[in-house]
Amino acid sequence: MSARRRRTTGPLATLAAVVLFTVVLFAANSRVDEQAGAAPSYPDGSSGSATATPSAEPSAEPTAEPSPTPSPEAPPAQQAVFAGLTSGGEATLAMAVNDGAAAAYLCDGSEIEAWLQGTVDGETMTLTGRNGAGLTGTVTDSAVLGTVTTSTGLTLPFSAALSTPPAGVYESRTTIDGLATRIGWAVLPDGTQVGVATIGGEKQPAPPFDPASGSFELDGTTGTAEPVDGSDTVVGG
Amino acid sequence: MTDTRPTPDAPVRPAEPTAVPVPRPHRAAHPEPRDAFRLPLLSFVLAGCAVAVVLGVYAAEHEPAGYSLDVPGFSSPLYVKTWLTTAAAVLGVVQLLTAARMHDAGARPWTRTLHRWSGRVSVLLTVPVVVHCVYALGFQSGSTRALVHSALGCFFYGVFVTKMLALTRPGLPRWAVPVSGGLLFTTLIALWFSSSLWVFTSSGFRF
Repeated sequence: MSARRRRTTGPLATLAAVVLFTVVLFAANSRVDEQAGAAPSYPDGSSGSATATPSAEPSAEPTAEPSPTPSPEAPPAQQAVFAGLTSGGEATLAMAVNDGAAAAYLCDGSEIEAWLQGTVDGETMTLTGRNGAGLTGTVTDSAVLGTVTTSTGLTLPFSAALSTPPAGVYESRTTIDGLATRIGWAVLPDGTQVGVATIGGEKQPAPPFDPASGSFELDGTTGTAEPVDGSDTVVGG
Repeated sequence: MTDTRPTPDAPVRPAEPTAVPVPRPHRAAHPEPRDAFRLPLLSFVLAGCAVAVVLGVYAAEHEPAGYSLDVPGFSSPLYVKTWLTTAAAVLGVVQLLTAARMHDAGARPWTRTLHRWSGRVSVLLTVPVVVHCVYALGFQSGSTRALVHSALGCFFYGVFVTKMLALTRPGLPRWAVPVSGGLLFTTLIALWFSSSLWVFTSSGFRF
C-alpha cells in the first residue's frame, strides 16, 4: 500500500518541485527587473511588471509646455510619425502614432535610451516606459511638444515635428552569440540615425542600417531594422 | 571438444535451479475494461498540451527582457545554460539506461532510485535554462535552429507534465510511460543538439 502511495505522490512531488522552482526563478527575475532601474545599464522598456507603476508620474506633472495653436478637437493624425530633439539637444526622439496608440523611442546613441508606449487622447499624448520613464505631450497637426522623463530621472523638454520617411522609430530584435539583442533607432527626416544596441544587457552604439532595405550588420550578424507602428508593442508584454 | 546434441536417452541436463519465473499475470487479470484508461490518459495528454501551448504563447507574447539572473563561475550566462543543459542531457542518458529496469522485478532496487532521482535532478537543472529562455529570449523563429529549439522546448515540458501525471495512475496501458519517457529523452537530446552543441561549435568549448 505504501509503495502504491509513493508511486502516486512521487511524480506529483516532482511536478510540484519543478513548478515551484520555475515560479521562484520567474519572481526573482521580475524583482531584479524592477530594481534594474537604479542601474542605468538597462533602462529601456522590457518587462511587463513595470508598466503599471510609472503611470502616476506623468499625470502628476501637468503639461508644462505651452501648446501653440491649440486647435481644440483637432483629431490626431490617423497614422503619423514625429521626430525631433530634446530642447538641449541631449537626445533624439521619434514617435509613431496609429489612431489612438503611440510608441516612441528616445535615444542619445550611447547612454540615454527609453522605449515608450501609450495613447493619444484628443491632443494629449501620454506614454510610459519601464522604470519610471514617461512622456507627456500635446499633439498638434504639425508637431508634438512636451516633456520626456528617462528611467534615470532626467526630465527633458522636447519638440518633434510631423515627419515623413525615412524618419521614424525602428527596431530590431535578434540573437547575437546566443545573447538577446534589441536595437532601437530614432531616425530624423534628414536620415540621421541615432540608436543603441543592447546585447545581453550591455549597451553599445547601434550600427547604421540601410534606409532602403533596413538591413544592418553587427558583430558579423546581419539583421533587419523594422519600422515601428504606433500600435506595436515596445514596452511590456 | 565437440559439442554434441544429447541423445534422446541421455540424461537431460537439469534445469537451472528453479530460475523459471512464474509468469506474471497480464493485463487480462484486471477486471476493468480497456476504455477505463482512455479518459485519464486523454486528460493527461491534454494537460501536457495546455502546458506546452501556454509556455509557447507566453514566450512569444512576453517582451524579452534581454537578460536574466546570472550564475557565477561561468564565462557568460550563455555558458551557464549550455552546461546546465549538458548536465541534464547526461542525466537523460542515465534515465534511458535505467528506464528498462523500472519494471524488471529482478532489478536491484537502487536502479529505480537512480532512475527517479536522475530524472528529478535532470528536469530541475533545465528549469533555470527554460526560465532564461522564456524570460530573456522568448519564442524565436528567426532561424531554423531557434524555431526548432523553441518548439521542442515547449513540447518537452508538455510531455514532462503528461508523464508525471501518467505515473500517478498505475493502471494505464503499458506503453504510456515508455512512450512519454522516450519522447522526453528524444526531445531533451534534440534540445541539447540545438542549443549546447550549437554553442560549443559556434562559440567554443569552454566553461
